[in-house]
Parts: sequence; C-alpha cells; structure tokens
Amino acid sequence: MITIAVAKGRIWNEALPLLAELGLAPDNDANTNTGEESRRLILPTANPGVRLILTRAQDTPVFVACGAAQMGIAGGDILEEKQTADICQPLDLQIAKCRMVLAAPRGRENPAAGRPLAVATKYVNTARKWFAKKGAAANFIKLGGNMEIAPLAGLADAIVDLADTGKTLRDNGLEEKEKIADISAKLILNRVAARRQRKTLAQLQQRIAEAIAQRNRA
Amino acid sequence: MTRRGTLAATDALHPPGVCRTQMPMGKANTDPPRGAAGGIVCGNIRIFPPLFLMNPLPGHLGDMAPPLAERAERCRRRALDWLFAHSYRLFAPPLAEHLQALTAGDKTLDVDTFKMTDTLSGETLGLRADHTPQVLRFDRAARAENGNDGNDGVDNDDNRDGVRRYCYCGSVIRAHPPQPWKFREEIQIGAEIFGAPAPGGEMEIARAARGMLAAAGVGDLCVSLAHAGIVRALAAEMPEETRDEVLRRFSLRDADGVLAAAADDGNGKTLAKLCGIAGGEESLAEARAFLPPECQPALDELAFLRRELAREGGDAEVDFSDIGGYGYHTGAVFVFYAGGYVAARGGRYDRGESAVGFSVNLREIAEHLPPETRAAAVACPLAPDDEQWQQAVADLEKSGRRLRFVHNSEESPPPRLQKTKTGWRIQES
Repeated sequence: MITIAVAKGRIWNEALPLLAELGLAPDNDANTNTGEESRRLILPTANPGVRLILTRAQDTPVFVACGAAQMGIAGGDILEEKQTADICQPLDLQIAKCRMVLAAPRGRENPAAGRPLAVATKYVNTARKWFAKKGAAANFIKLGGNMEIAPLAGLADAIVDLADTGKTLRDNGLEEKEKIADISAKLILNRVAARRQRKTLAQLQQRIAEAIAQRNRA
Repeated sequence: MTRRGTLAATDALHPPGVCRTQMPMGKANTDPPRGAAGGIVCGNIRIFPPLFLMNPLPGHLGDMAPPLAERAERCRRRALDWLFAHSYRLFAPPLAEHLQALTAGDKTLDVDTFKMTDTLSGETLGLRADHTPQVLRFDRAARAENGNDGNDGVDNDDNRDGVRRYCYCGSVIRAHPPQPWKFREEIQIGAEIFGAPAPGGEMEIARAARGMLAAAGVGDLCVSLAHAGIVRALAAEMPEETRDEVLRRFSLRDADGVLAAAADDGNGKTLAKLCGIAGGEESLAEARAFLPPECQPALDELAFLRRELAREGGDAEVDFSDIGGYGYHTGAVFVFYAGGYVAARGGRYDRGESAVGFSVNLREIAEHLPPETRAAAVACPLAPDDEQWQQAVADLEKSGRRLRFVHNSEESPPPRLQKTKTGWRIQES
C-alpha cells in the first residue's frame, strides 16, 4: 500500500486533476456515503494499492518524513522553511504556483528609516536567510496568517508572504517590493521508502513526470 | 465505522519508526491517567497534581522502561560480542568534554551539542552528540604517545599492521531532536577503523555494520551506497555558501534546486543529473558514462562495495543522493535500512587522518525488535536455614534459569521450588 499525503487547500484542489489523470482520484463513494461533504482525512483511491491522506500544509513533510506516508505533495514554501530531514523532493509538480515576496505599505519607500526592518512573516527561516544573503538587518515577527494586517496595525514595517495575483496585498494597501522566490508544489518521498519501495515509487514518479510534461506540451 | 475499524485505520498509519509506548513529546506523555485511577482523591473530587510533577522529564527525553531497556541491553551485549570477536577494542570516553574536542570544527555537530559552563574551571564544556570526535582524539593521542609504528598503546597485537579498530557504546545527547517525534538521547554503538585504505576499509566497516546488526537480532536489511567524494570533487570550485546549498539540494534529489543553486557553475548540470540516479549495477554504468575521469576511481570503489555487499543474496543498491549524516564524510558512504527505519549509517571521512566508521542507535533498534519470550521464573520460597534449600538455590543459580524469591506464604504456580521427601526439587507443572 502506498500512502500519499497531500496538503489541504490550494495544493489539494490543483493536485486532484493530476491525480485523476493517473487513476488516483479519491473514491467518491467512500468519500461521500451520506451525500454530505465528507470530513474523512484518509481516502481510498480508484487504485486499491494507493490511498491519500489530507494534511495541513505545514504538516505534509512531517507525515512523509516519519513514514506515515511514502509519498507527498507539499508546498515549496513549507519545504524551504522547515527543511525536514529524511525526505527527498525529486520533482517539481508545477502546480499551486505563486511567489514569495517582500511587501510593504504602498508608497512608503524607506519604512524602517535607519533601524532594522521589522518583518512579519510565517516564514521566519526563509526570510532570515534571504535578508542575510542581502546583508540587510531585519527583525522577524512570527505570525500564523493574515500577515497583511501587521503593517497596517503598526506591528511591522513589512511582510514576507506568498502572493499569487497580488490582490490581497493591493486590497490592504500593500505593494510588492521584491520577489524572494518562485514557489510551487513538489513531490516528496520518504527516504526509507525511496530505498525499500524504489521500483514502485520510481514508476509512480515517472508517470507523474510524464503527466506534467504532457500538460506543458498541451 | 466501528471502533475497531477506527483503531485499525490509525494503526495502519502509524509509522514503524515512531515510538508507540513512550511519546518523546514532553506534553504528549504528561496527560494524567484520567480514565484510570490516579491523582489525589479529596471527597468526591479527584485532584491531579501539576503536569510537571506527573512527568518531570524535559521534552524529547524519556525513560527506557522494561522490557525495552532489557531488549536494548541484550542487543548491546550481542553487538559488542560480535565486535570483540572481530578485533575491535572497546573505548569508553566521558560524556562531557571540552567543546572543541566534541565538535572538531563541524558546524552541524556544534549546533547539536549541549553546552554548559564547567563550574570547576569556568571553561565551556559540551555533552557529546556523537562518539566519532572522541575516538579521533583518543587515537591521535595514542599515536602521539606511542609513535606510528603500528602500536597505538592498546595492549594487544591486533594492530601490528598499523590498522587500529575501536568500538564504543554509550549515550549521546543532542541539543535538538533530529525529528519532532524522536528522542534527543540515543544509545550510540559503533566502530571506527584507522589506517585501512580504500576500498578494503570500507568493505570491512560495512560488513561490520551488517554483521553487528545481524548479531543484535536485526533482520530484513538492505544497504544504500553513495560517494561523498564524487559530490565534493564536483562542487570543489564553488564558493562555500553555494557549495553548501548545492550539497543540500543534491541530498534532497532536487535536480532543479541543484541547477538553480549552482547557477553558472559547469558542474551544476552533472550534479543535477547524478542526484536522481539510483539502482543496481546499471546505475553505476549510467553515472560512469557522464562523470569526469577523476570520479572514475570512486565509481570503482562503489562497484566493489556493492558487489561485496550483494554476495549471498544481500540487497545492495547505489543511490548517489543518499549522502546524509553529519556531512563530514569524504568517501564512500552507506546506510543500512531495516524494515522502515535507518539501522546504521557510516562511511569514510577525513579529519586529519582518513578513517572509516559507522554508528547505530541502539534504542531505535530495540524499539523495532519483536519482544522476546522469557521462560517463566522458578518461584523459590524462602528457607535460608535449610542447607538443602541453600544447595538447591545454588544449583538453580548455576543452571542459568531465572528465579524469583517468594516473600509471602502465597502458593506460586509452577515452576516452583518445592520441598519433597528427598529434598528441594523444581516442580515444573
């Protein structure tokens, strides 16, 4: 049995068509036996040898690293931030694409004015690394979400967060100052499973890579 | 879904590498036993003491209760006996040492080392996070004292050819748990060989890892081989920061990441191609086709090692990206997987002198081994004034059978020592 951990939310939504192309769509009968939207987190698929588990985005690498899932689909932002050991990330799935950006209130060119920038972010490690590489001083305030409020409330000078269309930033009076990284969802493998079930996982990975290549050609 | 079904689903998800009985997370095992009797009863109210009194241990540190501790001890004895039989000398360094001697300049090891101030001298001490730097210190000191004539001061003639073999077994403590579900303390058992050139040294140490694990009762082993020397050679010209990032991406099998991190370095493409190659003899041939000539001897080493470890049906494969560990390896590296966990990790490194070694977390191994069935203990009622009883107990102790003295008049079920007309006899049933 292969268990694939998939991050809830946008990654799950965009991974579903890809999984369906591979014959790994969640089994709807098992999923919605009462007609209501199911809250089951372990889902069988059309392939009896494969099942899916739904995880919170930041937990997907942990489930894969500890061996609860042999394979996973996780966001590049989380993988970069957590740098979980005992996994490998052999394939960029090119779904759930967005950018990690530094954003600050619109029109404010030098928000910190002579002192280290106060940056609110969920991605403290990634942001710290980026600022260090630039040689810029900054202090980081870890927040769990809705980062855009921090500069408006005077909590921070700027934020480091994910942006897709940039609408949330604009609607909250912020603008993108610099792009930190392109982000997309990655296929991840448990290191032990990658060795012990090498052939099975390599075949599945190959099929996923071919499906992505076909999408890119279309 | 039935309750039974729910439990089965949870069980199926439970990874084999996670301790089931003793959760390492401080909070997880501090829940008071609300379903069972516990706490202090005051009238009709049951009061639970503060959580820190229920579990005084810091996070990610845990007791080893019986039978886990007994299983670990049995593994330790069998493993050390195997190593003794193969001429490894036991070395037992102190748990605390000067920080520099424990980290040997390794950044990762430095972050992982518990630090404290010695109130005796004011110096900064550390608790060891790995045995290897201490073995290196000992070997270096022994050689300085005794010269490099093949006698390292150890009172035997096992190392007349200049090859020194050491083994060790003891606790190592890390400042941070290696994973959120793991303990910070390991019982580390392992071995190091100094003075054995490649590829014979690698073969001997990998065979030792396999033999020792088998002796300890670990089965279903397979090995993954890689070569840190190839990766280091290809990344040698890169600036340090770039090299670190390229090696990290390489070990993740992240080909796109390697390319991006290497930027315009010519070897970036080679490394990106290499990190995805894994398998048997064919993967070595695939790598041989595009790796530069200076990497070919390393491939020969891997081919030799794979062939030797695959003898007698051994499962040995190459995975070029599997170069994990402390990052100090410089040559061939190996990882033994048992079931769903890493059983042993080792390889060649160079810290002033080239050596090979491996280590094993005995606690993790003991957690994965099936419980051993114990023969029932012979119940011995106390009759110390009876000379025949004294003799019967002495005979029983000599026989190696487990015995248990009975301190009350309650009749124990057999097997038990019982007084008969002809003296004390064991009643088996």
